[in-house]
Amino acid sequence: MKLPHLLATVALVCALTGAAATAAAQDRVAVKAKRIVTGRGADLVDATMLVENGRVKAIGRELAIPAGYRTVDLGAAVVAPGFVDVASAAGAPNDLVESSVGIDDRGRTAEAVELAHRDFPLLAASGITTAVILPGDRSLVSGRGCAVKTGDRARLAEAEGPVRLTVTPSALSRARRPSSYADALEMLRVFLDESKGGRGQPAMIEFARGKRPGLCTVSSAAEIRDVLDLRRRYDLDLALIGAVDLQRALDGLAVKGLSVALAAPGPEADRRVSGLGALAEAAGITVAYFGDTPRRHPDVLRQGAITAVRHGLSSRAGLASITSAPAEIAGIGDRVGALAVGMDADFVVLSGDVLDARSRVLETWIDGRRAWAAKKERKAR
Amino acid sequence: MNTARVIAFLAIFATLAVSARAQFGLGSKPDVVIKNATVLVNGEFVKGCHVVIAGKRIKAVGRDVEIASDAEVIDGQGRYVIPSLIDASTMMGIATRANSQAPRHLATDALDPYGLETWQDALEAGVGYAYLAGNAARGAGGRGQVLRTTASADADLAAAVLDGTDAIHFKVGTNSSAIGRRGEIDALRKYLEGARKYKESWEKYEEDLAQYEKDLAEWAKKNPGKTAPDKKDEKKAEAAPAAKPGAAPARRRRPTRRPGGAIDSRLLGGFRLGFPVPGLENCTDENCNIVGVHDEHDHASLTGEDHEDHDHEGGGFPEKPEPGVLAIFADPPQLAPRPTFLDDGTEPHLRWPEPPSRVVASEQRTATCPHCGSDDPLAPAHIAHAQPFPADEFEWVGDELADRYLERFGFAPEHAEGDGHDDHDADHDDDHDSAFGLAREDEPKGAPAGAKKDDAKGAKEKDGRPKKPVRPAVNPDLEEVAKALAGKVGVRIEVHRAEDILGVLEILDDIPMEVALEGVTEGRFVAEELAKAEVSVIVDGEPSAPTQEIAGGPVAGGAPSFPFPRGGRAPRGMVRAAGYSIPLEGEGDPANAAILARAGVPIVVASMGDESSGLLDRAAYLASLGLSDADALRAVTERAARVLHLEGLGAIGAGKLASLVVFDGNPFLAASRVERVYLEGKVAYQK
Repeated sequence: MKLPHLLATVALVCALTGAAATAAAQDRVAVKAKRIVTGRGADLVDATMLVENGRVKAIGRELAIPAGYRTVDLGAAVVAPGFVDVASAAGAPNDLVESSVGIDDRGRTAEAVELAHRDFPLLAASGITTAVILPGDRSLVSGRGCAVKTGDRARLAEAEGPVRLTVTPSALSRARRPSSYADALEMLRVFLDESKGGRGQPAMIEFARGKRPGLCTVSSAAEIRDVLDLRRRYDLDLALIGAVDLQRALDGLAVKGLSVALAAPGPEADRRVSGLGALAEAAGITVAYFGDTPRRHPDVLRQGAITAVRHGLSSRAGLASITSAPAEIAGIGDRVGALAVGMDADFVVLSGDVLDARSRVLETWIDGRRAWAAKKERKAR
Repeated sequence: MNTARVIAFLAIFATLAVSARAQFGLGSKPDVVIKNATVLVNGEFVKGCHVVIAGKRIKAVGRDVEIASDAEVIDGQGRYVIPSLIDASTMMGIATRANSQAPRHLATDALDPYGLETWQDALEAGVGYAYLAGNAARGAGGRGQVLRTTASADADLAAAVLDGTDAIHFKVGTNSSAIGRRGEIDALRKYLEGARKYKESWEKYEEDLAQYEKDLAEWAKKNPGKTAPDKKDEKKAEAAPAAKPGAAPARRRRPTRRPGGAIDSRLLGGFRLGFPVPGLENCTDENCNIVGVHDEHDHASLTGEDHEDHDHEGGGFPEKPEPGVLAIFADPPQLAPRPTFLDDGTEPHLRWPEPPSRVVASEQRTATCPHCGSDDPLAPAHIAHAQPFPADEFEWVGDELADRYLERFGFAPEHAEGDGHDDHDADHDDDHDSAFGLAREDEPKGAPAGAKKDDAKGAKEKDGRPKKPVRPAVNPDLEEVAKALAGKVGVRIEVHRAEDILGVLEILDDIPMEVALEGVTEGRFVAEELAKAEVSVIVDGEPSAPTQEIAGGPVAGGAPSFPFPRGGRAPRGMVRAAGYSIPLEGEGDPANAAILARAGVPIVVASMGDESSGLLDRAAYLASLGLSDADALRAVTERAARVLHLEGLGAIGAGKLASLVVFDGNPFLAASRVERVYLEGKVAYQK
């Protein structure tokens, strides 16, 4: 290598590292708040969270802020893990429903989602930092969902998300199989057997072998029981979604390790619906709520958790139901849903408690960056 | 007397006194005191506060109030006390909403006494009173009333009803097109004006009657030979007006034909034709053919959307042509003009398709479609082939607009011909009033004809005796509306879009009434006008997309109204794209109530659904959008009480009714639970 070339290379390398160092300095943030709700153990009062490269580096009380960290003092605000909507159609309202085939083992919502869509900043405004975009519920197997980090710079956090199954009548069709409920179960068993035996799409093989999470839409008690039977027999990593008739199915149900995603109850929901979460919790089921955004306003996610807590769900499960529980269901629980060392620095800054309906979202941070902030002049007379 | 005896004596006396009080109710019941609680007083939580309840009312509130020694003390340490919540509008416990109502109907009658669990749920959530709203699918609806939420426990439902809390419901703005909605506003104005005339005619009648009685007595004095005519019959006749409310049920309207068989003015698929239909003059029943009957509700019933809210008894047009109701349709089915708005919304623009080659009409209930043989205009097979039938674009237009359109297309309005002017007008009214359940025969026309001719006052019979005034017809619906005009019954108007809100406010300028508006989804666009009009606004405080609340499609800023094919469902993707997107800021909805509150509009939060138990969270949600905590709470207590005319409720203070909720923590926190509910001094619920 000639000298000028070498010099040029050195100069380039220096320039690059310099730029990287500057970027790193910008990426280092120390967030101080009156209270940090970590989702893991007790809340931290007067705590600090160190964020580096979009992840939580350290979190605790009386944490020394090392040099090179920009300090953001959030004052009396409450910091909580960003919310996760485990069943959303944000950014792709039209392209998620495929009903022409009974089993769509190739569909990926990651291909349908438009990351520049205006839905994503609006989700961030309600404190939702991760939206799991699920395929529609018009096929028995409708492909794979994806997880999107919301905000104005939305990005795919997980392109290979959970597999969606549906056994409710919406998956049935007179024009193709499955045409009946019995047919659906039969098809599903054959599909799982074949996939487990190594035939078909790699993702579906993984799912059939219990190595990829899935969500199954169910409503009636019979559907819940049948799907849980499949879950046990095939040892699937399968959560239920919908499950409005859960109460009737609860008796003697094999619920070990089961998670269920329920529709976030609005203030208009009746007691049976609002109290379902508390019943599930009492039975040992992990409860998650989904917002079904953008069909419903993204605020319904947190409001739904509040309504559920009003109707008997514990505060702890109430918080988990919109943070860690949906993240676990989507298979991204190691990255989002709580604030702990090594996890993504996705958090929401609230004017008060998460489960206080009066609390406002003041700021939303995604990957260690402020992705949304409320305008200042919102206080009324 | 030694000390021991004194003590023993006092003890016996005290026991006797207490037992006597307990057994015989001697003296007053001891006060109940909630001690050392955090109490909401004047919009602020006061710690270490005592509430003294004596009988039905609050005797005193404060940190240092006198507490009687015999008072029953309830430890309020760590407890929060707020006034009992009041749901200003609910549909709880009504089994089906399909039964549309008219002002003569009471919503309470539609309550299912065996389905009142939700009322108990509401009570347990701290809601002490709920206004059971009258149902209005469109136009005029039923009357609502306030009930205590103890309704489910009361043996007699009537005991739970609070008297004097009636209000009549109206709903306008259900039509998906702007021009159709304008017609609804016009119809509301007409209806209220009609009610005013009705009221005036009865007032005049009663005045005239009093004068008549006086004159008759004088005449009898002057003419002792002539007996006053049929005193007995007179009495009988006079008994009727006393019992007028609910007397004559409204008769169904019947079409009239002008001599010669020409049709003067009819409905055409919801579009009123105010002119003779070419080709109809020679129409006989034999060659008539009902192609279909359209009304704007048909669309809903065909698509299966929201069917329960639509029905045809109280408003709208019949689903099937009824015997005697004329339905006119064109063959080819291309008659109706298509009023559409230009994009800028300035000038209504009308397109007239090919003129019809033949127009047919029928007065039969059933007629057979020549294409499919169906005798049911709503049969799916028929609808399928009638696809090009442009009934969806038929609009029910206001009088003036209709006439303008017709003139523009060379059809002079009927009254221009001179003959039959009255008929024509009557038909106009008929058309609109049908949406308000007003039968034509009962249409208020001021003083009755006889009275008009003789100018009533001082009119004389041939023999010089005073002429008896003619009693106006009774309309049980207008009876109630007349009470509303007199301020004795409240008025609720459900309205959502900004332009419709302005339309309603215009009416209120001319017909002043105390009105509460419900819904008001787009109120933020007209917040100043609402504040100036000093109307109460009732919102549901739900984080929902605005488009879901408005019948017929998205609101301003959204996509245009759904261009669904007739009888067809909206393509799935389209509903989502057009109807369900998150509102943007500004266009955005949940902050609507907060914006209105900032503008000074008194906001009341109500559940407006089947469940009141989430009322407090609805208010709290508004607090998250910018209302202060106190303001948010007022929206479900004080202001709700004011809009419902509940004296002494909605606030905690000396002299107020003791209707309170005791929480085990800050009521705004989801984990806090209701421990006790007092309603008028009695424990209505205890955990």
